[in-house]
Amino acid sequence: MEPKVENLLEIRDLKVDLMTVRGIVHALNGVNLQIKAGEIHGLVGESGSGKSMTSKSVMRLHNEQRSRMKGEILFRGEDLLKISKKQMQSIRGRAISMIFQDPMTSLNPLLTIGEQIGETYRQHEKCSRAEAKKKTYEILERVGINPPEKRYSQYPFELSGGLQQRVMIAIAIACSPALLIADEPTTALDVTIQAQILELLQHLSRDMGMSILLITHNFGIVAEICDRVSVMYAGRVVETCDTRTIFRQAAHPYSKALIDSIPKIGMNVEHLPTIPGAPPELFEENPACPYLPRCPYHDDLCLKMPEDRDCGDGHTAACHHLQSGCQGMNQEAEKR
Amino acid sequence: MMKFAGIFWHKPLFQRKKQEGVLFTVPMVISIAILALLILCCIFAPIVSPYSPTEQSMSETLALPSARHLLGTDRVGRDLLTRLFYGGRTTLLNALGVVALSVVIGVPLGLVSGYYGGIVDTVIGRICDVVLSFPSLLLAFVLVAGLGRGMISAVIALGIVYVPMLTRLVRSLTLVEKNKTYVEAATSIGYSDTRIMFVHILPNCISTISVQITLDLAYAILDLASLSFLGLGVQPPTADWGAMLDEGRNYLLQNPFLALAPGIAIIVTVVSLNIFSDGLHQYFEPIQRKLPSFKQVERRKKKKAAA
Amino acid sequence: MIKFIAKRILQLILILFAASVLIFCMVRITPSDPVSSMTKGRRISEETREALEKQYYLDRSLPEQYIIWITNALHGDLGDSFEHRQSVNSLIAGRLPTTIQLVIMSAILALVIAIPVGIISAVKMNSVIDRLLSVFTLIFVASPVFLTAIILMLVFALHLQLFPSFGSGSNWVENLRYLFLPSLALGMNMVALISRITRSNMIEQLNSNYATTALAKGIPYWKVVMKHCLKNALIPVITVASIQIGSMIVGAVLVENVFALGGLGDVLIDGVKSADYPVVQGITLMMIVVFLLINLIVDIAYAAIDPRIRLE
Repeated sequence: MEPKVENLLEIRDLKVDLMTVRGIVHALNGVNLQIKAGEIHGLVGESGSGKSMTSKSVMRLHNEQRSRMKGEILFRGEDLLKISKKQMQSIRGRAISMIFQDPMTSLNPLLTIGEQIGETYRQHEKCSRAEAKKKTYEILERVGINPPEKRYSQYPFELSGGLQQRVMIAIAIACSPALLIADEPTTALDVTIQAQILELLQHLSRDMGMSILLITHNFGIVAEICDRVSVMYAGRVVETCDTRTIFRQAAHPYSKALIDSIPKIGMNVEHLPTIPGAPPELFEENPACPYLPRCPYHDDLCLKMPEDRDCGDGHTAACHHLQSGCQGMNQEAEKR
Repeated sequence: MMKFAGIFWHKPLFQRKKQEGVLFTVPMVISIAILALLILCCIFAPIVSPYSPTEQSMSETLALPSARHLLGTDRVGRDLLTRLFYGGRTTLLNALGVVALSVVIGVPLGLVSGYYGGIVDTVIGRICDVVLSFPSLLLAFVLVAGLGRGMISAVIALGIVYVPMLTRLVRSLTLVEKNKTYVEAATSIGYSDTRIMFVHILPNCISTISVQITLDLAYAILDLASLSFLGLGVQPPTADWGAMLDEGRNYLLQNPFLALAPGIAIIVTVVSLNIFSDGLHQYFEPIQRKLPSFKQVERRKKKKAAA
Repeated sequence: MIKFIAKRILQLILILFAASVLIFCMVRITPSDPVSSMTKGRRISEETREALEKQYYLDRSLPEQYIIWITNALHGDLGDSFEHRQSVNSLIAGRLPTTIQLVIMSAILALVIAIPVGIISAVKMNSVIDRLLSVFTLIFVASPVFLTAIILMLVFALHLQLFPSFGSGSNWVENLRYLFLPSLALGMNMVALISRITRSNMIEQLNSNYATTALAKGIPYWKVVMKHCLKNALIPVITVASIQIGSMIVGAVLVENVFALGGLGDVLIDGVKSADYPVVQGITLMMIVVFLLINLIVDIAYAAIDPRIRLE
């Protein structure tokens, strides 16, 4: 038995169905994900693979009428899907907080920066307006927005995209959360600004001992700042391992194909490798491995949904045909 | 050349789009049924009703509803239900007249404005701005003052008042269609501008225009009723629902149906038209549709599986 | 900001000028003989006729008549009525306060009812409450104001006798009671429209990214609705409301007629019926001025709410 590592967040067999105009979509089909205290955990995959869906589920931000969730989301051992709305509210913004892809639309256009940050303090720490203002100045400086006095009374449209994202980060880290979920925080920004924001996130994580769940489709970002990474495909986490391993010994055929499709210097640019086919539509419940139609290694075994298999050192992958010399033991078998 | 003419009919009238909506939803069917019933009653008024709309019967003035007169009679003993049907004829015909007039003027203006742009567009646009700066009925008052009161004046006045909204709508639709490939193709073949506008662009705007027209029909009924109610529209002894309401309000305590019946007729018609227009809109643009609950969808699935 | 207001005022003046031309042309769209309607068809001598024509400038050409009318109007004189033998100014002055109070009362009533209705149906989207409210509002969209007025009068004035059924009081405080039913009737139509727009805008705002951000930082749902979304949702609502004021001014004509309030409406309608040009022109022009001024004020109020306009 491996030594049991304390997980800050543990998602077990999370299933989310969404109601859309075209019918029920099974957006998540049994997501398993562990995030350790203090780590930066990358979550990668194509668009529509369920990355954002997973993060929104943790915050319970889905429209209740149009979605339903099954499974467990354990945060410090407590199931977030079972607690009351009121309890959830006190966790959001204080213990777990979130920043979004597009800072322009994610800030309220009619409220000042100061009001939007201070509001978090007043909500969670029950402090007065004056105290909130003082703390807002501090946090603005901390995320590198200077001078705070001037920015405090400005409106979002007066700031650049990079500054707006810093404001979002300030709001998120205001109450020193244990977990920060960053949903593609740099996608809408210029490349130079991207690097600054990533650096800021890395510093904050180290200084505050804060875990970050970083959602991205960019392996470059993963390589840069993530400790561990999970790859998602068609509403499932297909592989989880540390960052170094994913680049060298990806065990799941899909992760391997993804890594191989990253353009490298010196590559023949006329033939960028791609993964043929497209991800499945998730309208029907599918008992087979969702990657089957695109997988070069598939056989009859793949008609059964693969379980997560342990490759050692916290490396798991959900596939019947593990690659890169990874032996893989079925967890079921291991338990016996 | 002739045999290619057909291909530029980008899509036939009312063709279903890829992400199709449902035309016959429950509210839609109900509203169509009500409208059909109303129209039939009005067309066949002489057959449906045994009385004449102008026949007076001094022995039965202001009678309450009875088996003989289902809704009672008015001040001079005319059967109310009969007058309601004949009044409906006038109201619906006039409303159609208003909308037809606004379409005949507004649609070509909008097409020309959107297709040619430039000065033509600016002039038409400014005129629309000015007309739209008036509340619609106020402008109708002014026009009726100029034309003299009466049914025809009321129809003409409202018809003109409704033009700018339609012009703006058609203009914006034309601007979108103008840049599509099929228009380019038609231009390159050398069709005349008139032909391109009316034969190629217009059919592709019809779905949105038809939604607006049904809505305008509802507004026309309301506005015509207002004009008649004030004595500016239909003149006695002809009746429409507005004029009947005007007459009936003096006898609210004797027989409230005299005012309520035409009032309810207006509400029912306008509500049905609104639902119909809404249904058309959702049919053409299904994104707006309300979503069913999980339970409903699963129940449907089970039913399908059982069958 | 000052540039913004100046631009708006310039626009208003241009539209007002165009509107005055439009009013003038439409009133005179068909040739008619105002003098004979003035004298109710009585036989008059050529001299009297000429004198009357001279008094009302009817002997001049149409463009001249327009210039005389608009110049006097700019000096605050709207001319003399053919029918009433008094100035349009004095006709308006006596009746304007009732009409204004009616419109203001119904606008307030409408907003007070409509915005909460809109918020509730947006928050409880597709629930039973939402459906009931939407049926309710649809009925009031479809009910002409005079019908709503008649029904309210029938129920609350004639049967329950809670309010007077016609007439108006001698001062504005007394009028509160007299004008309650009329303004409710006038307001209900607007309630229907405004609540529908509030609902759809509110739904849009509730689905916006910044609302999600606010929820994600742990702000309670109702506070997100009231503090974050409402302000954003109200901006388009205010536009529609200010445009609705226009149809309310016209609706007031109908409601005044039902409740015999003796407001501006009756004078206008009489003027329309008897082709009393100065009255129709004068009252219409005044209504348009009021309507456009309200729109101007709303535009400026806009800027006060929305920093994006204010700070530009």
